[in-house]
Parts: sequence; structure tokens; C-alpha cells
Amino acid sequence: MNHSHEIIVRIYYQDTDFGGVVHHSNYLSYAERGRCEYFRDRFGEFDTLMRARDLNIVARHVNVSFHAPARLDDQLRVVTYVHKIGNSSFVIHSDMFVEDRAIAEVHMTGVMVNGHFKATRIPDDIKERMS
Amino acid sequence: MPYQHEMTARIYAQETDAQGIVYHGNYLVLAERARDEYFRSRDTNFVQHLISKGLFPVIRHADIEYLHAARYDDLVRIVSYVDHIGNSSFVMPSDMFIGDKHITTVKVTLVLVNRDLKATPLTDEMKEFLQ
Repeated sequence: MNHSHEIIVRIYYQDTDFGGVVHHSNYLSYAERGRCEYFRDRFGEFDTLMRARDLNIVARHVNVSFHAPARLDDQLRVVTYVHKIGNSSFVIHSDMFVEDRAIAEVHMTGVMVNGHFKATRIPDDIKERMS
Repeated sequence: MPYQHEMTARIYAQETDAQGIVYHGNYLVLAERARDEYFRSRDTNFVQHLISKGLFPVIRHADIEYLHAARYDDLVRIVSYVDHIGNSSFVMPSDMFIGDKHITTVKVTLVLVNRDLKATPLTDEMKEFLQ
């Protein structure tokens, strides 16, 4: 089992829409927060480390399944883990729950790019710590 | 050939992030606007009409392919259409372009649900409307 990391996100009015539920686009932001905290947990100042090597990560593909809506005041638990690592890309999952109820799953394919946004190999030391 | 709707959206600073490009979550918002205008272009009251009957189109799944980034000041052309109609669900892709360059496709699966969030079959009238 790969290392996983958990954060809690409280749902405020700004997250909801007139349907009374969290607007679907917001799950991508919660997934991002989960991923950033995952990287911080694994690498410390991940952005500094990436900048020093003129590297960046961009989203290539995102797949979201919505199982049930989250609502105002909910505490959304976001569980993040790396599902797969390739040469220059990786797939990272964010599973979201309110209590034990599955709310949404975000699967993101990220690509390591250089300063010109060209795909580049994931350095071995980074790869190692993402497993 | 299904009915297609086209709109253009200008990219403002609020849609971009520190990577200098449109934040990846915002394509879901752009696609939502385009779908809404698709419906409005065919029947000014389609979504309101559903809501008045206690029916809501909710998103079950979203798939986003990121091919190129959009940036501040870009004019993004968004082409939306229905490409699959199921029993209680339908699939709507929104293809996004800058000039002739295909930058992103957002494909969502919408399910028609009642107030208890239970899937409800599309009526023949709705299916015809979505053709």
C-alpha cells in the first residue's frame, strides 16, 4: 500500500450552490489541497524543491466520480495517495468521504514538465518518495 | 450530427493561477456555462422547467482532457453537444478551442434525479429534446 495522507475540509456557503449542495467544480480544489498537503508531508517545501530544479507539475487528465453530495457544515475527509507512477507522469487519487459515506473520487494524471512546459522525466529521488 | 451550441468566453485574471495559466478546476465552470447556454439556446426554460417538476440534472461523472493551457486574455470557443442518451442519463462533451487549437474537452455525465436524489427516467419528450 502506498503512503496516503488525509486532510479535513469544512464546507462553507461559498462552496455550495442554489441546489443546496457543494458545486461540482469545487471537488477539484479539495483534491488539489489534499495533493499539496500530501506533497508537503512527503517532501516539506515541495514548491521550493521543484522551483530549484525548474520543474512543474501540470494536470493532463482528470476524472471525477460523484457519489453523493456534500453539504454546508460537512467535514469532508480527503484521502490522497499515488496510484501509479510512470516515466514522466503519475496518477494520484483523492477519495472523499463525509463520515463513512463516499462523496467523490478525483483521479488526476499529472505530468512533470520543465520551464517550457515540456514533459520531462520524474527525478528518481522524487519518484522514490512518491511510492 | 447532433445539435451543437457554440459560445466564447474571455479568460480573466480570476480564472488563472500562479502557473500563469487557467486553473484546471475552472474548465468545469466554463463547461457548465456552455451547457447552460446550450439549453437556453434551445428552450429558454429547459432547466427551470425541470426544476419546477422537482427534477434536477446532476453530474455523476466528469472527464477532463487537458491538451493545451488557456491564458489571461484568451478567447476560448466552447462547443457543446449531447453525444449519448441513456435511460436516465445523458453525456455532454464541451470541446474548447483557442482559434483552431483544441485545448480541452470536458465530458460530463448528467443524471436526472428527483428531490430524493433518486435517478428518474428521461421522458420521451426530454429524449427528443436532447437529440
